[in-house]
Amino acid sequence: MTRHRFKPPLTQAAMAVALAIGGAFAASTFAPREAHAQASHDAQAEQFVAVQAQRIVTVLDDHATSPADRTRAFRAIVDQIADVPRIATFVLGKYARTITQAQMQRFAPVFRAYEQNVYETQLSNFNGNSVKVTGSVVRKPGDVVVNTIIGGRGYKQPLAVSWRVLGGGESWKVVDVQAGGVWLAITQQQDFVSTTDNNGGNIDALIAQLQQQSQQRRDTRAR
Amino acid sequence: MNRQAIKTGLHFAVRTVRAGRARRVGQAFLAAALATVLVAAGGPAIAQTAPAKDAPKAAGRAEAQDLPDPATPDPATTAPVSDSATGLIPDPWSGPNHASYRVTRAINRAAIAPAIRAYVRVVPTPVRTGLDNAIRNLDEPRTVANDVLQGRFKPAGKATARFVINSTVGVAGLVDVASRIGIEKHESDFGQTLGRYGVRSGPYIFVPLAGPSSLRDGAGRLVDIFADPLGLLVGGLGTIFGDVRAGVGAVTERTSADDQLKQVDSTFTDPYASIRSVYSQRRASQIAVARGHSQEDVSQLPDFGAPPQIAPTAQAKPTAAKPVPADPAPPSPAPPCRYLECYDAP
Repeated sequence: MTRHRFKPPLTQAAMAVALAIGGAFAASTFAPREAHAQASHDAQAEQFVAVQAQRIVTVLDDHATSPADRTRAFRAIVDQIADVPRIATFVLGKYARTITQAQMQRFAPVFRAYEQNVYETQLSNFNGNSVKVTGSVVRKPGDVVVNTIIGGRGYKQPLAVSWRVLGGGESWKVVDVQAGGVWLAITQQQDFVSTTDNNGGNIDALIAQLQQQSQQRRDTRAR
Repeated sequence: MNRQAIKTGLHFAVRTVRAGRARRVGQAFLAAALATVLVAAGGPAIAQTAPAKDAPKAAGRAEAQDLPDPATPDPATTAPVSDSATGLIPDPWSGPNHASYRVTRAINRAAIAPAIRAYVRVVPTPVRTGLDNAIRNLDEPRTVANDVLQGRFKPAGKATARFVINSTVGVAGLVDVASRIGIEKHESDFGQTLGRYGVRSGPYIFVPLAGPSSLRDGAGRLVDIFADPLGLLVGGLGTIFGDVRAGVGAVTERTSADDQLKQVDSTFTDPYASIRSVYSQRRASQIAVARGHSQEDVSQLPDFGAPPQIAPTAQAKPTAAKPVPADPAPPSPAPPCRYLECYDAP
């Protein structure tokens, strides 16, 4: 009769996990790693984000003013620092090639209102009051991702937020914002393209839905 | 080598369970063996197919009835996507996933959300926060184990310090003392560990009541459950400790996500597609961190080119009925875009 030696559960668990890892190693044949380019930083883009992100955070954290005034001030900043027309075209994805001028004229203001609302909602959730730039990566000249840490009241932990800015010199515009690994405009593109696909490529259906959602938000606020 | 590893693992697992020496250890082995089989079956198949950038992307898949025809697989849904920040997890099981999403949403609205809001009304905030802290604290040993497996020893040290401090000074984890002294929380799971070693996500899965996942991450979750260090030491599912931990954990996790879930319908025009997008990006970012990068590879982000020429006359005429064409292709060949659909300056 074979005797089995007792092994502590943790040892067994470690072996089990090691086994799975071994299988993964063998099976995956080490998919090639993406080369992370060691791009240089851009001090001017960092300066732009440091100033503008601090403006946004300060406005959203200013509880001395009324919510309506806060919203107005916030939207004015977004209009100044975000390249909304470029974002509007980007989020349409493949439909940016087929949208008509008339449709674009209807889509642009609806999207602008939608975008301001989404930015405000998302950034308000952060509830921070200080911005610290931790670095930047140049994708290509004039296209920079600036990394920041937003800290302040209401946090257990500071929040990492990345800002994608396009431009050069002292002239920059924000085109996307990332928090928790999720880019806002990229997500919107997938959202809008999927909705338009589901409506047979009809962009008017997307515009109508955005209008409807904006109205619902206004109604909710009014209540 | 691969087959041998699987064979050895399964053989050992079956022997262990038959011997009846340690049920929990047997479960851990079976979970690990299952994960191994899954990644062994899925990993190479996924890794060997064409790279994502060469195939149309899966976003914008239509409704549940638009299941791909098995005879003519749709490259949009079978195309693999790497764990880059810009790739969607492929969704070849779009039909069942949509059904699962709809069922989950209905149950959530009818039962879970009201129950969670009642819990929030009845239980004072300090008690809820304490419970949440305590449950999260129990996950720290799992984080340590996965950090070590990923070769990330500094985060493993932090998670260990957090567990020791919060379990003692923090009164069994009820108070997150470690965060207050600057030892920040992070989470590591076995899906990340597999991703760190190059295992691709596999197909997207919307797990009923649990939410978005993938084949790799689902298998990783099984390993995390059955090979959880604390579960093996104190008691896993089937024990009072394990069952209470799982139950309270489900409530606290759902409660902390409630605000975000409430915003889903008002923020997105297609919540299913957006949840998949968010999950894909978040996992890609977490796996980039597990690979030792501070963030994802920004070179893979889509270009924000100058706006294209807009057609002066109507082109995008609405089509009357669903189902929609699988891919309303643009009139011109797609530019070499790495992400869903984008455009470059002409």
